Amino acid sequence: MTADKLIAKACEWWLKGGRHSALCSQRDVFQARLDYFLKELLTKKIPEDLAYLFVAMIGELGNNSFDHNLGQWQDVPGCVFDHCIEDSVSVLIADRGQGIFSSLKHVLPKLTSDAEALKIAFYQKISGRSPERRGNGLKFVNNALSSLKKCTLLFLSGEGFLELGDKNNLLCDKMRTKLGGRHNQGVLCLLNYEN
Amino acid sequence: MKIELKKYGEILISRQAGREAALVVRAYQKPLNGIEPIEIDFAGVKVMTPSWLDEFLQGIKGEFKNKVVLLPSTNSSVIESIKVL
Repeated sequence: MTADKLIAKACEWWLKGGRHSALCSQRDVFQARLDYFLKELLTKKIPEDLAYLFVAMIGELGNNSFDHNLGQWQDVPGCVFDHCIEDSVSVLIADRGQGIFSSLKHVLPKLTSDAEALKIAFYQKISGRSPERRGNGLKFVNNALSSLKKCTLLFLSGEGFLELGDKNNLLCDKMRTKLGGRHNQGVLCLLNYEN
Repeated sequence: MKIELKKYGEILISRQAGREAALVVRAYQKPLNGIEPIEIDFAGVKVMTPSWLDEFLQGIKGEFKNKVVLLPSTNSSVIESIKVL
């Protein structure tokens, strides 16, 4: 599958739900697919240390879907974890869960927008799952992106979006164009590495 | 006492798995006394997330009062995970 098709398929599912061939309805399915994805990266000669860090970031993003949405799904439980490896490595994670704003609103009642919620999620150590001591997963993703070159994350939830890492990524632009301002309260993210 | 994390897998990602690993250590691998440091050995681990590590360390520190020492690693996912804890 091409990156364009990958994006189109994931956007469609994020907006409307229904079936998706890469849906991981349970955490164990996601974990198994992640193990396989690592093997695929190494087979395609992606440098080992980069592959390990890349998989760790995806692990955090995918596990967040389950950690923050159990019992809170809009309709379809689980997350879509799809990828394609061409000249670049593109990974999509999407869920139809409660989203970042709704999750953080429990601990930050004065929160007013999706955009504000995303900034807090990525830059502050705070989690919607209070009183548990959590909230370092997305900071880890942010730090890891800073340490990598040619790597970009486009992260959307509700009306908010953040682009982290290398800017002006063509695929991220394509995804935003594809969505054309449409959104869902859940999470959609594209992680892209230009090999 | 040295805890070799590779025994719990090469890809250590979810909080649930980290908590389970800590419970196994608490049951089967105890320090000889209250002074012996607990060394966490990352050798052989390929993928680590802060979620797994946080849950594991909380479980260990909650059970044992010994000093916990994180041994050095060259793996980027381990290094970045330790940084955000």
